[in-house]
Amino acid sequence: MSFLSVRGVKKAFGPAVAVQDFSLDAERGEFVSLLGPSGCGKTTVLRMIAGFEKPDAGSVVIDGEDVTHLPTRARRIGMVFQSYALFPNLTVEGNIAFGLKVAGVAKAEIAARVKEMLELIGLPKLGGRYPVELSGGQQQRVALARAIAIRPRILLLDEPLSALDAKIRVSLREELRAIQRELGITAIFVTHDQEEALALSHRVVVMSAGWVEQIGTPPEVYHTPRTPFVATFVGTANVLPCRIEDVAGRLSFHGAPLALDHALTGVTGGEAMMALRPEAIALAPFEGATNRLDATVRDVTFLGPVARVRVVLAGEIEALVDLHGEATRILPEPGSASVLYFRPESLQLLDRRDRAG
Amino acid sequence: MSARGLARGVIIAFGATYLLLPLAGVLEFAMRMRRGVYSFDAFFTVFEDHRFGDTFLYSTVMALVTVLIGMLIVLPAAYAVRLHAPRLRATVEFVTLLPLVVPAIVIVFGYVRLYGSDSWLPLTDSDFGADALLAFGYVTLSLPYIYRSVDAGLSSMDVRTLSEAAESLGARPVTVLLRVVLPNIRTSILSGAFLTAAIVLGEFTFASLLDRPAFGPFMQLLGASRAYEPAALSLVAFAFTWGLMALIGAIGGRRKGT
Repeated sequence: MSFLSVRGVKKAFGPAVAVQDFSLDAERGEFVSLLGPSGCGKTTVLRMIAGFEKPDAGSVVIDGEDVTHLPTRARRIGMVFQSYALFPNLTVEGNIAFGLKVAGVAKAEIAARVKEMLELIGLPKLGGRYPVELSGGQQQRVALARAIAIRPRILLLDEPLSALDAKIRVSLREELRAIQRELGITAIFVTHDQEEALALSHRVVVMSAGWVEQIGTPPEVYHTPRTPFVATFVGTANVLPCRIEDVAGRLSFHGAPLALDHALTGVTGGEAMMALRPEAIALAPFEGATNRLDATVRDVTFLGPVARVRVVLAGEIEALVDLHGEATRILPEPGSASVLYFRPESLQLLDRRDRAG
Repeated sequence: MSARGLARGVIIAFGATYLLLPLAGVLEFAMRMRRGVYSFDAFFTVFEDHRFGDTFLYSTVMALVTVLIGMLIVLPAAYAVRLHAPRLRATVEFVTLLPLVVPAIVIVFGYVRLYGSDSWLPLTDSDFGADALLAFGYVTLSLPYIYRSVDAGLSSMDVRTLSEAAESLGARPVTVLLRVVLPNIRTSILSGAFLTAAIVLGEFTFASLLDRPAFGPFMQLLGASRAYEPAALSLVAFAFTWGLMALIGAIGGRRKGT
């Protein structure tokens, strides 16, 4: 059995359903991100794992122990909040020692652990400072130290980097990952920032409107999105209508034949949606690019390493093409006719799930 | 001096005069007890009267008891409302404001009828009972001030997140209240306590109608029967109040992070 097992969890606040039916298994030492726009239910899931919210249905099991009905204090979790939530009346040391004191750990051991934590977060000299005397990044590092000082079974992080400015966010992100990997602690990380989720996680859970859209490794979620939501929320994608012609993976787009790199199972014909990343497309033939579509260039934006070309397909559907490197030397003229080239494996057929709510 | 500095000086001078001139007048009057010369005779007379010490001590103890009971009721209530029943906040606030609307005389009449010698709980029959009744009455009277100051203190911090942070670190609700909430609203609690003490020290209606030896009735008695002593007494009471205020300022500003 996995280390953290969340099974069939549901939660509604009055008439508003926050989490529809959430299940997740995380292994010991795994870093899992819950990614989605605000209001998708990701924070509610985290708060149910923490015990701040009671699920209406389902169970939460940590290390074989069913904690669904345990109060937060008995769950042995560590939590880091977006607003840092350091105790303003205590020094950095006092904050880190708080959980250890509550647990009745011996004084000498507390002192040793606090020192160890301060070194881990790279602030060995700031133990005597009060939270107001620290920068946002320092405060969040102290909050992290405070959460892991009690040696929790799971580390829960609720958008811990969102309140920081861009530069600190990236450096603290690296640090967070290094500390998590070093301690081998299981971590659940909530974010609305796809870059954060992709950079930090072993696996990403993409959520929308209370539902799990997809669970997978960062490359899986990026390269093989399963739903239109995942395709457009994680990175940029052209989501286009298509027709499934046969189970061998042949599709058509407004009459133009296209091919997938795999056969389909259980799908026989009909309308569907497909995703195609802008960077997977070229305006010149290249090896393996057996799919091609006629297009008209609408406009071109040159951004240095990338040139973003907006094209129109079948006279009405807009799509984006990203040109890289040498391909940006000679740019197409707006209004000119062009051909999009891409490989079968770049084309991703999407589930068309209709959901209430 | 700039025009702005000048304006500031004028305003400060005006404010100081407004506050200090009556005090100076009272002081001048209090010192005229001995004919022809200024003396502190009125002050000595007040201090030598054993009723001054007795009633002042009584009221001080009452003030402390009131603050203690009031905080024990209000602090957990305000905290719980904020955390678990935010919708009840308006109702609770309204209830705590009632003592400002219902006159003290009405409250104490109600008390006497409910807890008088022919009632099911005759508290007024014993000194301790009457003292308890007076303390409870004072708690009611000071509810608006205690609740408002505690609630203001709770507003100044992120109670929910800090409580959750403490809980995630293994703390029980009582520990959260004592180790996280209380230290962070210390200044608010002190100001609520101070307001309560000031009200209790000068309160007349409750103490008089329950026939308790409190400072308020003593001041009234002295004012009705003497000329110079009441002026001296009011200055003493004023100095005591200012002393309390300075103390709160000193304690409140002593530590960082509030």
